[in-house]
Amino acid sequence: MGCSGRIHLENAVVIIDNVEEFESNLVSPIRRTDERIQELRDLGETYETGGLDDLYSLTESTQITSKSLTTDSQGRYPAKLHPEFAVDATVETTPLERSIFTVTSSKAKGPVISYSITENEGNLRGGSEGSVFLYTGSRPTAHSHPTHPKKYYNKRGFGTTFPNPDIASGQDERNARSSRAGYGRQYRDAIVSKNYYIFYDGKTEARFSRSFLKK
Amino acid sequence: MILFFSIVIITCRKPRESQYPFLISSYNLQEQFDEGKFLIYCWHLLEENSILSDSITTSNLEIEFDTLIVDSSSYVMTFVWDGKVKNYPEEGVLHKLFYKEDKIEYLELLGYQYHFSERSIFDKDLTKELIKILKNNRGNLNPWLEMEAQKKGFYN
Repeated sequence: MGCSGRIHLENAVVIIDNVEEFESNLVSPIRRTDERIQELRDLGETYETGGLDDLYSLTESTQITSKSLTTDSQGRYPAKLHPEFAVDATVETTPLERSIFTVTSSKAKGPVISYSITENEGNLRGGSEGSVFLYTGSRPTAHSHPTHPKKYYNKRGFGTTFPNPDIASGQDERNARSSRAGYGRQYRDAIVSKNYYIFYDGKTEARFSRSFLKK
Repeated sequence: MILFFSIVIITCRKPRESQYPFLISSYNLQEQFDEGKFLIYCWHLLEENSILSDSITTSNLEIEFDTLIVDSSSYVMTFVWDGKVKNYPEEGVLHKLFYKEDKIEYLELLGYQYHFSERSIFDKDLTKELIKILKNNRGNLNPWLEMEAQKKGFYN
């Protein structure tokens, strides 16, 4: 569910488990005040996805030279790749003042999860050749899946491609299922490519096109 | 008497130890299982484990069966190396083998899919190289790998 309303939350997404409760609370367009929209938003978990877009843009605008892949399908050498980047999200469950959004703990039933790489670049990982995967730590994370439509060849001449960028890889799924001591599955993780892909406890929680939120 | 009878029944029902996972035996994929596992080891021999941890060699690389997903004409077999990749906090590296009509089409590993349709990992040149590596390291490699290599005649 994208929520823009009149308080300009174009990049906020709310994931709601109880759709029936949401539908019973829907009101006519005339009565859609900011307060009513906020109440609807509080029925689920809010994701500020602007940072996910930044992450994807960073991936698409970065190009590295592959050390393991020699040529692309046109025989061009050396192969160029877009790297994956990962970011740890910040979580605010206490009253929070933001320039675009105000949440109070008494109203908010779920946490606000904000993906940001502009406010704290120290939490950025990856960027070199290779995957970063879901990190099943105690914080929500996100990572980008670059789109590589071409076929490459490694140094031994094996044709090499990349898994579907719009879904979790087998390794992502495995890591999301991981329940080792000290690695609580408290938060959802996200993958961003052409879609947002929200992942929780080894299962897909939500998947929707990035264009869904574009004006 | 009843107690004695129960013990006998339980003992008889205990399944015999099999060298193959139950799922593999159920689908009668023992041959494909050996082919796949052998291919993964050979892949790491040829690639010198460069993508895994520095401390990993083919002697302590232990690949374990994970899952089998069966479709109508294809299936996926996954194996896991229960170790830690350098610069990465998680443990357990997934090796995903995609089979079509009982042939291995590709190996998916750490974000890459390596296809074997244009070049087989067991073509003439690579087999020659593999035999050399296997012979030079005989006695120091993973026991299952050595046993399988022996079975396939790589030491002849």
